[in-house]
Amino acid sequence: MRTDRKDVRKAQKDVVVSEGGNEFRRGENVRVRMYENGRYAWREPSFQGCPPGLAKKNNGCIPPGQARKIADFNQQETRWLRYSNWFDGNRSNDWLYDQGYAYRVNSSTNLVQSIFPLLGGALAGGNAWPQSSTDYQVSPYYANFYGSGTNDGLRYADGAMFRVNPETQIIGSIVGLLSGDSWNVGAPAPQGYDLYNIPNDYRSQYADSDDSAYRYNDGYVYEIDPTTQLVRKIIELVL
Amino acid sequence: MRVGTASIAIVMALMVGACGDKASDTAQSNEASTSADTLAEALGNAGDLSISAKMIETAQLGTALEGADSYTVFLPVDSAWTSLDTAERQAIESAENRPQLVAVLRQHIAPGYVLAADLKNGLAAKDGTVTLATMGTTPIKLRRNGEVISLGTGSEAPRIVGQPIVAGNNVVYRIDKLIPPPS
Repeated sequence: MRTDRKDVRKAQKDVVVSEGGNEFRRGENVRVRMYENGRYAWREPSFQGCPPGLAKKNNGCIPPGQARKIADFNQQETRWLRYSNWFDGNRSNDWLYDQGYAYRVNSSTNLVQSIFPLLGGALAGGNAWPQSSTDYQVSPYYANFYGSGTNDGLRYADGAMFRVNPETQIIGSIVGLLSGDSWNVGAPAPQGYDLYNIPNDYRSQYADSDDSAYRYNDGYVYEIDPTTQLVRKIIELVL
Repeated sequence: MRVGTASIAIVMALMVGACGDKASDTAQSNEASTSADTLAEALGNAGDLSISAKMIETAQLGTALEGADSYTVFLPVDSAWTSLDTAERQAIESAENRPQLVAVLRQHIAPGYVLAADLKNGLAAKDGTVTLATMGTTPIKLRRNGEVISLGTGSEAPRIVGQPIVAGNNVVYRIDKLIPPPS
């Protein structure tokens, strides 16, 4: 394998193209740094590990609404700073970006370990959903909150909720952004909720008082004990 | 969770009342907040947020910001974008680098609906410094220093400009710079 992490070269990837009503496969040049069996090669993403958008919040590889069911699943080692490629020279050591995907590289072997699709890159409107249809499905609650119920093509990845055409698997739109913050009853609220932020439609129902404080995040309202500052209740906003 | 014009009017009335006679104690001007039914309408009316509007469109985040969820969005005014180094701006705007544009914008979006009065009250309760979660990599620290509310510290820290815009489920604050990337 290459020792220089900047060594990115072209390889051939088979793609299906349609011309004149006929479909056929052809090789397309893609930039890769995977070196296997004596040549640079394209490998379809394996999606092992966690999407960066979730990993940064230590809540595993699942949408935030389901995260509270999982005990402290720390994936901080897969952290990828989203700003890392904004300015040259500010790259995270463990992650490379190319062609809409983040690549995690083992710093000792320099081998690509994981490939993640990124919001705005592979995960963008008009692109095919890059996983099998069973991956990254959303909870029934989020299917109701962001859509009209289950089985209507909602998918979750990299901190965002997508509407995907169930037949073509083409991404139609990004329907929501999620912080991925983890809230648990009996624990303090995560960092970043100093301000009252209840959405307009729920302000009269969940107004701060001496007895209760309320905060909003990712489709849920959280009731907090003002004295202990511990989360007392998790409130769903849609039935 | 769509917000009708009538409910916005009620919120606006409450907000203006809440700011009341101590409005000058905050970084906000005495101008009343403006409102619109959607974010797109708000940005179209704003005049000084046209580049931010274009960036949201390029990033394909318009639908998310018009949807069921609720956000507080800190949008750089046009001069903030045009003052960027040319190479930086070209990097952000290029189609190949769209994930980076998305990353930049996510750092400017906070969960929930924080009105001017909520910001004022929260800063007062926390001795002038509050932390706000974002859809990006790190939370934002908002600090009040006299009449000014800054996002972060130092010479690169953006400042909130004027009153927020209430737009559907969202509240939009103008800021005079982009939030700088983490060191």
